[in-house]
Amino acid sequence: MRIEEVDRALAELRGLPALAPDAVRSERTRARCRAAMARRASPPRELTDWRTRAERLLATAVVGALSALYLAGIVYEAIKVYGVPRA
Amino acid sequence: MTCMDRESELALVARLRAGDPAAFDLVFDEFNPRLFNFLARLSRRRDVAEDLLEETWLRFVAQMPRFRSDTSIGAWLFTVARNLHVSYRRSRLIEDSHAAGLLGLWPCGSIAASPFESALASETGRRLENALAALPVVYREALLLIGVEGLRPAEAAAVCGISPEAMRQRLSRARALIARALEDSKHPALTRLEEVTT
Repeated sequence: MRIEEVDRALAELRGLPALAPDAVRSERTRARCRAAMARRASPPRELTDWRTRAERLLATAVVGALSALYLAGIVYEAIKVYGVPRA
Repeated sequence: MTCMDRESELALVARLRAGDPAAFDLVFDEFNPRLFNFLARLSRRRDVAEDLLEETWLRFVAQMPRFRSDTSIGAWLFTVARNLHVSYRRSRLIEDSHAAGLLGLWPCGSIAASPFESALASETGRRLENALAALPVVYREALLLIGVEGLRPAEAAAVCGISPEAMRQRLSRARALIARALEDSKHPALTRLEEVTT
């Protein structure tokens, strides 16, 4: 094939038929992007509701207490098995 | 960006950084079909192209506030799309020679053309499309970026992460390869007919 023919073929590349993306999916993508932009635009909501804060505090306290109980149990079992460590 | 001068593009970048949804819509409408074409011809699979296209836009939105004021939107988008395709190829270990599925991408013919013109254009286009699909991906992306999307060689080099000189060499090699592929795809009977008539 001559080089002019190749160049003509390459010029035809621009004339290749356009492939269309799926319209429904494109709109879904656009909506997801717009939603992400909107989320970023609105400032994070302050925890003004005292009930929400109390619930969070209570949840933290319960988890903390259970963790302390579990740790105490482990120490107790260890002392039972190995005895009180001597200095 | 082809349909917009640099000044307008910079103004658009400023609006995008500020999170202007209308600016995003403008960019989306301009680049969504172009990115899809690029990814579809690069990956040779519509479903993969759709997935990568969506991921490209989500990354675009995530990075928008951090854009530099002189960001080139088109180059940014094509770079991300191309890098996503590279990652996809790495993860799936796609065979370069696998060209199945391309026919499914082929759209309907032009409305204005006569049946003969349609058949001729379709035949030429199909040969070109097949030759393009048969190229190794590094050459295919060079031709798609420069030949189809109209990026300057320096821009295409930046998108592919190589030097402009390397891109020129890649383009030259791509031209030679597509010439050979087109030659190989010529119907023997057609070649003989051409010899007789010329």
